[in-house]
Amino acid sequence: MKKAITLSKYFFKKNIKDIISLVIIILLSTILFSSAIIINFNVSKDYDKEADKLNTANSFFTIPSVEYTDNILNDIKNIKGIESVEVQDGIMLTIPVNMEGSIQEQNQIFYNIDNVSNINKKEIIKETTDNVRYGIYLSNYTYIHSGLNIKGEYKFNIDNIAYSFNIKGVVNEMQYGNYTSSVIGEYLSSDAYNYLLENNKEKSVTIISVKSKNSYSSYNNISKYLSGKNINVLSKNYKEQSKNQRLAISNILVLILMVFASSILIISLFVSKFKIEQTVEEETSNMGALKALGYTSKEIIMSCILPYIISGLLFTILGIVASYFVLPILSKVIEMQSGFIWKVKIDLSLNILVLLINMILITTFTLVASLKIKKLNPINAIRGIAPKENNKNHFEIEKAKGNIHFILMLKNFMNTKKQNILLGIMLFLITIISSFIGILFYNVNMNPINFINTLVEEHPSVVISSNLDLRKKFETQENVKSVIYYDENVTLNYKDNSYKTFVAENFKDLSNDLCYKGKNPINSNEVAIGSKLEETYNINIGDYITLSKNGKENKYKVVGFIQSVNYSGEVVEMTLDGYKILDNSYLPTTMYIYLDNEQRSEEFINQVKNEYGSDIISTMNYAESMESATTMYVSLVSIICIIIIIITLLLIYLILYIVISSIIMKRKQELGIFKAIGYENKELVKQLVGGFLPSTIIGSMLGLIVSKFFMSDVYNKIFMSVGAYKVSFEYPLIIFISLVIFLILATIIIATILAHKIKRISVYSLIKD
Amino acid sequence: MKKNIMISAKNLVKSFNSGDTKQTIINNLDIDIYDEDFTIIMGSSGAGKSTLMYLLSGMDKANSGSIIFKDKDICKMNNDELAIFRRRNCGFVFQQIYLLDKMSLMDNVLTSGLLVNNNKKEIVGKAKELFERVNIPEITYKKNMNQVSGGECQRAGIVRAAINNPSIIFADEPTGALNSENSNAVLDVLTNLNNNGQSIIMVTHDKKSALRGNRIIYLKDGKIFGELKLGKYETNDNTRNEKLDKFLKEMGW
Repeated sequence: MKKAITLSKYFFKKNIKDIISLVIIILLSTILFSSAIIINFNVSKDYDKEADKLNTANSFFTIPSVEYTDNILNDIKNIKGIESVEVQDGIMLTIPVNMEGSIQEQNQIFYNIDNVSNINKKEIIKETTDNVRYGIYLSNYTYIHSGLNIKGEYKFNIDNIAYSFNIKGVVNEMQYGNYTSSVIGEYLSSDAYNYLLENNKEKSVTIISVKSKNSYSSYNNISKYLSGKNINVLSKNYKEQSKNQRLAISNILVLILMVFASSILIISLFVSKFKIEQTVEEETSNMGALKALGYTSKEIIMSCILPYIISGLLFTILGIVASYFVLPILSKVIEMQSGFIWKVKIDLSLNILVLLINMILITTFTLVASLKIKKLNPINAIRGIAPKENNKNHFEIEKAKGNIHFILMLKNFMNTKKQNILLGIMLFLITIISSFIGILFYNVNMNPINFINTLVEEHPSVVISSNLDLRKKFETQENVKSVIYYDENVTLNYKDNSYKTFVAENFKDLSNDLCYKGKNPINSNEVAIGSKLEETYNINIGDYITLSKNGKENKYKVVGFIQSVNYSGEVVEMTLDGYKILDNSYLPTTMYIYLDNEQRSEEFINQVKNEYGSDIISTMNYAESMESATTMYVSLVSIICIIIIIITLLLIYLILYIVISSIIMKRKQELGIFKAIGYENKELVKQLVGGFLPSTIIGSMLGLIVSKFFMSDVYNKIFMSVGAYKVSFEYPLIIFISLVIFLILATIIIATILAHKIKRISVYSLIKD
Repeated sequence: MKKNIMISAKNLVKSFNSGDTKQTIINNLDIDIYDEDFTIIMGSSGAGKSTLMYLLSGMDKANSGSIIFKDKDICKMNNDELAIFRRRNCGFVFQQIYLLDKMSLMDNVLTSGLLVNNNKKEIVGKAKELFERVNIPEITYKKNMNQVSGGECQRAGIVRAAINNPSIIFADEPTGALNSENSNAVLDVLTNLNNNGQSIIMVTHDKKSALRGNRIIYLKDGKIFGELKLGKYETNDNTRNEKLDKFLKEMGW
């Protein structure tokens, strides 16, 4: 062992620059991998812990206070599996909120913070000690995105009444969390609560919070009960669904990090394998001499791989430590998206797991690469003859077409097969990584509509509810593209459960086709159902299902499956005529209006309000809300893209550095001979760089083909994990081609810069060395 | 008949830093190399023979002094200018041969030849003629260097050096790594080339090799210590041997 260590010092010193390049790659991959794995295992666990600490309800329902009676509480208590029930009063309002600098219409439930609750407790995380009148404790999500500060004012207008509350603090709660649960909770002091209630008595709601053994079962049973009692449920959710909704984006972030980190890890493994094989080739004579002196193959192998294993170990540890500096940034991203405050804690078991994975892989790869040493015959090795050395004369100059430089370039390509294979594999992987990120950037930043279509339902410019049929009038107005009646707020029952139902006259008129299999309903006896219904009841396209409303039933043919991330696939889609079979008194009131210029949405709303006054029930600037909601994702993806572009370029640089250094080292004498017989530096640089072109082009083209054909599957899988079955992403060929051109050019430029090293080596020293 | 000067070096100095000490290898040396001469550079180890040869060919750069090679001061040229100059004017034969190992002997020659003349047919024809002159048949010149003998490799090295009709061939101990039979063959090829008007500078330790030259320069401590003019090589000229022996004895060989 002592002998191996002494020898390994020699190999370490000899390959120090390449080892540094390699450990930078290992460091990068470990930082990302360790961060991803810690988030993956801890965020969910810590979320559950926090939910337990605050005794978060397993399921919760919001109903109008006027419909609530004590009998409801008693009946729910008696439902099988229910452990405890608690009711709380609140005020549910749809208010315009300033989020990320633009106005977003949000459903908010205002609680009285002085009403003590045992279920769904709140934790005050920030608070002023000053006495504040009309105080409000904002939810963490609202606090982060509104840009407001403690002691600032939380203002909004409803029905021409301006409200202003003084921000007393910030609360952490696990019931609502963020906007994906479609409702946000805010907490008023008694004076403020009473003031708001006084003006909004009709918006008074009762929130029924339930603790049970099984969240989904209690959620289903209570839904059935309330539906049976014809009680209007304004919002409902259960713990696990709420968690999925809140952590959806962080799950996607983890997946991206995992994919990226794994790719870099694979790259680093191939590079270390390549480097060891190169060392064996370069050191063949020395290794032969060592064998002749009595060193065993095992000792030489150990000495060869030890520098990589020790460096790998050190930099994996460093990467794990560094990940704890990156994690707070990612934690902030998760908090911004989910409203959940995730505190980064050291997780030794996961750190050891990352260390073991890295070390097992590095040891295996380096060991396999160094096994060639075993086959070295001492005498042949001393003479510098490596086993199975192939000195075939490729592209005989006399017969080959093209000028001498081109033929030498081809010869160079053939003679550096190993380097070229490595480079090809690396370019292949890097192209896939770049395509993944390029597609994400294209669909989130350049064409956010694709991202929105994937995660949300219909998104018009403006939503207006009116007692009058104003469609024809709106259609003739300037800037209006189209107007349709569309309702996402009616419910229907299937097997005693109540489901959100999307009703439209013609689904072809909608901007976002939610159907991921089959088709949207066209006839009155057709429905499309959400993914959750499909899975829960094992319904197939072509089956008939019986839907009911207020005791009236009708059979509908299932013609398609639709996705709904916000309602977790618990939805039904049917035509207006189809819905009227169950509710013949139904008159659509909600108009989805699509404008040519969405920037003028607010102007349109004001115009409508001025013209039709009290005939307008409600308005919503959907375009602005969407823009505000997507701003966060756009900036998040931009940051990820920039980081990944930098890492990708760094990777290309480091890989090329290792490859070109090894070629220059290996061909030092050869380059000297070329220089001696009169080849200029630039000719040799062209020869060297040109030799990489075939593998660069082949690797990146293969990466392009794989990306073009399989990238949609990757995104489908990722989004499926958050309940989006129909990914509306586009995969334009031009994006892939542009990326490949960029990567090839970057490779050529970096390789040219690195190959200029040849310039610094004099002919004499090349020959003498 | 007065000979033309091909290379004229004045006040050449070349030194290396060896640790803290500066080692001067070529010390203020003046030398003229003539057209069509077979110049031999001799001297003990470390005398600066190879260094001088590499300076004169533009492979290495002098610390000071000038080298006028065919009316051009090569000391003022940058690396790429020197490369172009070398490809047109110089041929090299090395002790370690230095053929490109992943190429056939023919490709090694063409790599040099096609650098100057793009006419492949012409260069291939010339290479074949030279291979014939050095007694390397087609079956051999299509092989790689590790498949042929050292002597064949070195003769291929000479073909490579001669392919572009260089002004001068620089040969650095070309027989140093060869057995007696192969050495004679290589020397015969060089002598033959010189008889046809090819200028040659050859560094050697070997007296037998030195006999092939018409001018012997002896270096000591980086300076020309002595010079012997032998005249054209002739096989049966015994006086050459005696003259060289006497000269080398005087030089302290």
